Order: sequence, then structure tokens, then C-alpha cells
Amino acid sequence: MSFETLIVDDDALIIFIHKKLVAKNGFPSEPKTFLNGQTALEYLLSQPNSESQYLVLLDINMPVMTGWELLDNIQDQPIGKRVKVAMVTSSVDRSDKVKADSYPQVVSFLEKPVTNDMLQSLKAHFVS
Amino acid sequence: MSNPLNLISSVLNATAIGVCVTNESGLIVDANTRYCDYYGLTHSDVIDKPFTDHLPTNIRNKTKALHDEFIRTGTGQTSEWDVFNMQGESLILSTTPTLLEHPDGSRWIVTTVTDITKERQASRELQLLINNTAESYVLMDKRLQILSFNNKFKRLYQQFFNKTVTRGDSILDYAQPERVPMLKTLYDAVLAGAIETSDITVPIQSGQTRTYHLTYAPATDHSGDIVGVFVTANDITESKQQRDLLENNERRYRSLVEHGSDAVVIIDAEGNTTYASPSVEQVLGYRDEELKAMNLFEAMHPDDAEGARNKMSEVMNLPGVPVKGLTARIRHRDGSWRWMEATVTNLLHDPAINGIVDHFRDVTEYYTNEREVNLMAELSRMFRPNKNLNDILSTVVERVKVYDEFKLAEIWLLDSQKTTLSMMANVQTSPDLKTFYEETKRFSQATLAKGLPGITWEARSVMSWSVSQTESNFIRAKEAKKAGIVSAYGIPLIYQQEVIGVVLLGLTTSNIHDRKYKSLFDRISRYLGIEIRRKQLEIELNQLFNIIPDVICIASLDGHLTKVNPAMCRLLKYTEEELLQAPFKDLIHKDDLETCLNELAKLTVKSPTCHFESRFITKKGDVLWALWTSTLAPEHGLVFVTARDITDKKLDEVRIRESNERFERVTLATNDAIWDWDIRNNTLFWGHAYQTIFGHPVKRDEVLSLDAWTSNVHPDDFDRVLASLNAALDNPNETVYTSEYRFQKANGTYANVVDRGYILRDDSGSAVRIVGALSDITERISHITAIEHQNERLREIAWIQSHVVRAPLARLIGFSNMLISKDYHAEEGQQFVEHIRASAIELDGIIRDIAAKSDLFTLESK
Repeated sequence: MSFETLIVDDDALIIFIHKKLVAKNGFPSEPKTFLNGQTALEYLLSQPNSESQYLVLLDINMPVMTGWELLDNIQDQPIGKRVKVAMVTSSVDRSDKVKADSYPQVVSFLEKPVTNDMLQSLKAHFVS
Repeated sequence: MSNPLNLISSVLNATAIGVCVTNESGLIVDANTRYCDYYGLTHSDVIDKPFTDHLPTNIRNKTKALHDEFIRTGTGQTSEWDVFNMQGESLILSTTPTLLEHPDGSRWIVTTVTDITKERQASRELQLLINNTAESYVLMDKRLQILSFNNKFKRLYQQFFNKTVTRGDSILDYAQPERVPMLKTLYDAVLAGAIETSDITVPIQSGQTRTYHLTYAPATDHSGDIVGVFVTANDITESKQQRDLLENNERRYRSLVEHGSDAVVIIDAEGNTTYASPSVEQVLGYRDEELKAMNLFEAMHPDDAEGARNKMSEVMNLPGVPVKGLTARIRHRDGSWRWMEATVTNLLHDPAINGIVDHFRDVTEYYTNEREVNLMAELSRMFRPNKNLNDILSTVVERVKVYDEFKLAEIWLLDSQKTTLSMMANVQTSPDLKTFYEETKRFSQATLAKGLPGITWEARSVMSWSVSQTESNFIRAKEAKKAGIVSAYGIPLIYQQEVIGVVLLGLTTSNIHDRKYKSLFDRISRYLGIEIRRKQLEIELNQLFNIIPDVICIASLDGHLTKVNPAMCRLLKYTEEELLQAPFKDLIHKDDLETCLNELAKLTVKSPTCHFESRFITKKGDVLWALWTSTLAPEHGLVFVTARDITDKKLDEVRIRESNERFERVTLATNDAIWDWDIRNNTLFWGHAYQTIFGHPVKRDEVLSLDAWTSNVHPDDFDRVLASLNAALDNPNETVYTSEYRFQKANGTYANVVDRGYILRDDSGSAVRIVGALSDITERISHITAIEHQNERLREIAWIQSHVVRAPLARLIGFSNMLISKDYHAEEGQQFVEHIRASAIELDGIIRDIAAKSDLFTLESK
């Protein structure tokens, strides 16, 4: 099955690295990248009729809109049901991890930088 | 030839007669050397001076009057003047004036003066004697005209006949008319050489009479010729009465001599008894004929014979003088010795007696008594202080032994448990006694009823033993017999009705003298018992005095110590001598001296004891505390003093006081409110901090109840706190109570407090008191809250920092991973390295920034 990959991070270099890794690991499409939650949310909300699944590599701390705010905004949206999120953060806080569990969309909690192995196991969420 | 006047002048000066020429007014015109010499004056001293100047003042007027009279009348007599010379010596001068008619018509007197001091002295003394004698006398010439009489006669005559005796009167004129013929005859006889006497009783004014014994004797001159009559009168009123009495009592005296307790014997020069009064038989038991056949000196005790002989030679040397003080033992007819006290008079020269009169009486009882009293006094003196009892007892038995030739003398004393008598002293002055004690060593202790000592102890009265007794109560009988002892006495020593010991006395004669010794034994029993017990008590008291740790001393109110015990010396570090010499006020701390003296001054017979504390100073200068007890001694001016060293106690008091003060200061300084709840009395004390911390006023030493605490506990906490307190109090093993709660301050706000108490319990485990501290932890709680808050912030900061640090780090790892995968274009590789470098620089900057921030970071207080 096919799914779209979104990379949301305020660090352009991280986006560059992640984009390279996603491409290399055989993800179905060219990932779309966003520098904050706001632009990513706008993109997702602009796809109301799409059948497509979305994998979002979501940074937590970002200007304009954080990862959490993005999650909160899609909770009651139809799109929310088609989004799977891997929280990607530079440092892991236990409370963040606990908080992440309360969002059904969050399937994984990753520490930057994302590796090939991490992406392979993420891909499994969509293959099955 | 020299001038005859000069010659006369020389003669006058050389003569022993003083010559003085005076004019009409009594001025001395001239005087010879002798005259001046009498008075110790020089010629110029007397010339032109009144002759009275060098006479004693009392005769000046009289002699001037005589002089004037002589000038006037030309008649004068030799007179005697008592004068003094310049040396103050008394002189009697005889002066004879002669009238000299001067050619110019004036009248001079030539007075010859002779020193008759020596001559007059004798006659004056006689005069004094005569005038002061008890006899009266009067001297008459052959015509019975009165020539001389003494003052006494004059006085008597005045007294009886109211007439003044005058020289030249006839003595017969003074007699009562009816006696005159008798007296004429009498005087004739006297003038013929006889001595006559007569008694005359004359009435005296008070209605009584006096009797005079008159002696009429012829007066003779130097040649022995009778020149007159000398009559002396003796007042025999009293002696006549006495003689009458004697005569009246003569019969009674005779009776006394014959039958009285005084025996009288008359011994001739050979020692034979020529007379014995009937009373001798009563005294000595011998009958008249037996006495006459014996020599009393042979019946005398051999020991007294020498003394008697000495006394007798004294008697022989003093004929007619009764010699007293001869005391000797004489054997009674019954064989016993009796003490006799004799007065012996040698009347061998008296023809009526022709013998030595020996008055004697039996003084055995008196003498024995005296000897016993002396013995007891002597024994008493042996019990001197500072002598040990054993030495004293040895001396005592030695003395008692020789008192009446006892062979054996021992003292046995009862031990303090009153179970055993022990021999304390004996006499071993002879070899046989040494042998006796050697052989009887086994018997030096006796229990009740054992041996003579034990039997005496049991009987509590004098017990005896005799060799003749078949059943012997004398354990050492065999050895005693060997030593020649044939009888013995056990005498109980009694003190306050208790037997304290036994005196054993042994004799070489069988005990037939029970009666004789009764009084001696009685005295020994009582006196010796008392003395020994007193000595034992003295020893005990001395020991007590010496070993007691308390100070005991005797002080005189004049400020000196008269006796001190060793404890006092030890405590004060002085020697006994030093303490006895210095005034005791030197020992007392000067600040306490007044108190001490006041206390002592308060002592009276009614309240003889006082107690007080004072400091005193040791020789080394240390200050000690003592609790004194002073008691007025029965002896005036003395105080018995005991003192206890309470220095440690005092120092403890000081320590406790200081500790209390420290505690008090701590309660002032601490931020804990100290509280002290006396559970039994429900009194609550709050320390000063209660006010400073909680604002509740604390008055010093104010006593509150527990309500003062409970009323301020927050209502929501109250039940819990009270339960916690009660649980702690009710558990006998719990010593600490702790609770945290809210406590209302005076301003109505609540403080968070920690309350900790230490529980004091009595022996049964009941809590009686709890002392605790209430700490305000409000600040501490908010402080902790602040810290927690800060920690939270720190955690956040740390997370943020790590997040910031991780961002470039993640990039570094990402790019390096890509480099390692080699899955890139060549130009991309160069780009990756650029990114890695930029990320590393960014990371470096971030870390430096964090370090700088850490330095600045301080914990905020709130």
C-alpha cells in the first residue's frame, strides 16, 4: 500500500538528513517537508478527501506550532485517523514519552537523528 | 694666856651638852656646835632665827609659851621635847632653861640641851608596856602615898569609884572605909616583906560585877631595901567563871577519862604500865592486870614501831608538852590489828604523875576509812587522760596489791559483747607469782560462772575462795596454793548496776576478814567500776573524736579554739598547735565572719544550739564551705562546734545555678519556645521564645496551665496532637513525644510547628513532667516548597538545555551516518563535512553558553 511521508522539523539540516534517509529506505513517495507544525497542519487539512495514509516524522519543539499542538489539532479531524506519527526529538524526556502515548496517532518515539533501522521498523506499520 | 671667853667658848663647843642662848622674843642669839649638831644644822642656820623654827610644828606653840613664861616669871623646869633632826631621825631632848640677866637689862635664856633618846627609849617602851598591859598597878611609898600608877589603874578607878587618882594621895583614902583596918594590917605585912593576895568583886555601872585578883608585893630598890608597896590588879572575871566551870565539870571529866573512848595509860620510865583507865579494856580488850604485865610497844605492829619510837623521843625531849600525831597499829586481844591515835605527854618530872601519859583512842574505823578514801583518790588519779587503759590497770593492781599485803591482784574486764571476761592486768613482782602466771596461762579468759571471776560476775557480789573448801570454785587453786595463796576474793566491778569486770585479790591467810574488807571491796566495786567505764568511754569518745570525718572542736567565746580533732586539722591543713594558737576568726572567710559572730552571740542557755553555713580558709588559702552546728557548753564561755564539709554540695549548687542560668540564657537565645509542663500540678512554664516566636506574652516565672497550649492548637489538628501526646505519656517506655501541627500565634495566624518533648517519669513509670521545645517550621516548609519549585525549574532548564545541545548533535550523528553509508555524491560528501563542522561549532557555542549561565545561576530564596 502507499503512504505519504511528511517530515516536520524546524532544523533544515535535519530535514535534509531525514529526507535522504527516507528516500534511501524505499519509502513509496518523495517526502514532503515542513519547517513547523502550522504548515504541516495546513497541508494535512488540505487533503480532506484523500484516501492516502500519512507517516509524519514530527519534531516536538518548533516555532509557530509545536508537534503537540499539531497532534491536538488533528485529533478531531477525519484526517487524524489516517495519520501515523513518529515523534522525533533531539532529547528524550520521560514525560514527553508518556504524553505521546495519549495520542493514538503516535506509533513511535524516536531520538534524532533517525537511522535506517528506525525507518525500516516504521515502514512495517504501513506494510502490515 | 688666851682670852677666857674664847676658852669658855671652846669648852662649850667641845662639851656633849648643847647650849643655846635666846633673847626675850625667842630669837637665838648664840648656840654651840653640839646644839646645832642635834638638829643637823649649821651655826648660821640658827642664829637670829626663832628657836621654834627647827622644832616640830606640834610643839612650837607649847615651847614658845614655856619660853615666854620663863622670861616673864624666871621659873621653869626641865622638859623633854620630841624633835626631829634634819635626817628625819626622832630625838628626845632634855632641856633645862636658866635665866640670864643681860647688863643692858634685857633677859636672855640659856638653855642646856642633852640628847636622852637612848635613855628614854627603854623607859618609854616600859611605859608603853605598862600602860597597855591588862594588869593595873599602883606604886606607893612606905607612907602609902601614891607614887606612880598606870593608865589602866587610873581608868578603873575612874570607872568604879568615879574619882581621879592623884599622885601623893594616900591609898587608904581610896579604899572602902570598912576595908581600911584590914588593909592597914595587910600593908604592914607587905612592908615587912610578905606577898599578899586578895580577890575583890566590884560593881560596874551596868549592874554587873567584875572580880579582880589583887597582889600586894613589897617594892624594893637596887639594894633590896623595901621602899614601898606595889599593887597589881588582874581582872579575873572570865577566868573565875572558867575555873568554876572546870570545878563543876571535874567529875564529868574524870568520868570521861575513866569510861570514855579515850583510853589512858601511864607508863613509867621503864615502859611498865602503872595506870590504865577502864576504857582501855574496851579499846584493846586487855584487862587491867594483863595490861600491867605487858609492854604496849611490844604489842605494836612491827611496821609502825619505828614511827612510834621517833615520836616517843620527841615526847621525851619535850617534857610537859602533849605530843599529838602518833598513829600505830596495836594488836587487839582478839588478834586483829587496831589503829590507835595517841597523844602522849611526858610527865616524868611531875611528882604527882611520874610517868608518860598516853591518851589514845581506837581510830581503826576512821583510819581505815581515810586510807580507803585515799586509796580511791590515788586510784582515780591513775586514770589520767593520755594514758592507755592497760597501763593504768597495771598500776592500779600494783597499788591495790600493796594496800593490805594482798598476794595476788588481778583485773578482769568484760568484752563489749558481754560474753567473756579477760584478764587485763596482774602483778608479777615475785618469782613465785611469775611461776604462778606461767603455769596458769591457760586461764586468762572466763565465761559466765566459770572460775572465781565468772562466779563473781554471775553473783554480782563479792565472792570468796578458801583453800579449805573441798569443792573448789577457783580454777587455779593448785597453782595458787603453790604460790602461798590460801584465800581469794572476787569483787565485781559495777557500773550502773551492770558488771563490767572483776577484781581478784588473793591472800596468804585464810579469809577471816570478810568484815574487815567489806567497805574496801565495796569501794573498789563502785569506784573502780566507774573509773574503768569512764576511761573506756573516754577512749571510745577519743577514738570517735579522732576518727570522725566531721570537724569537732571546742571554742572559747574569747575567740580561741581549745580542742580540735584530727579531721579539722586535715580539712584545714593546719597542725593542731597552729589551730589552738590562732584566733578562730582567722579561719573564717571575711565575708562570713559577721554572720558567724552574730550566730555565736545569739546562743543562750535557753537556745543553746545554732546552725549556719559559712566559708573558711585553709592554710593553703583554699575556700571551703562548712555547715556549722554550735552548742553552748555547760562550762561557761565554751562552745562545742561540729562542722561538716559541704564544699562539694555548695559547688554543685553553684554548678546547678550556673547551669540553670545557662539554660535560661539558652531559652532566651533559642528559636524554639521551651516549655515545661509539670503534669502532677498541671503547671506550664513557657520560655521567653514563646513570646518572640509566637507573640504570646511571657511573664518571668509565670505559672500557666496546659490550657495555655491546647487553646492555641489548630482545631483540625487538635485531636491528632492530643492523641499523640497521650500515647507518648501512657507508654512507660517512651521518653520522647513528637508532633507536628499548626499553632495559633498571638496575631491569629497559624504557624507550622514541630513539638518535641522529653518525658520525665517517676519510679512507677508514670509521667510526672515533660520538658519540650516548640519549633516554628513555617519558614522551613515554605523554604522546602521554594526548593522543590526551583528543582522543577532546574529540571526544565536541564531538559531545555539538553534539547538545545541535542539539536546540533543529532545533526552531527546524522551527517556522519550518511558519510559512513557512502551513499552520496562526491560533491554531497563535501557538503556533509561542511554541515558537520558547522554543527560542531554550534554545539561548542551552546556548551559555553550553558557553562556561563551555570555560574550565574543562584537559587532563589522564594
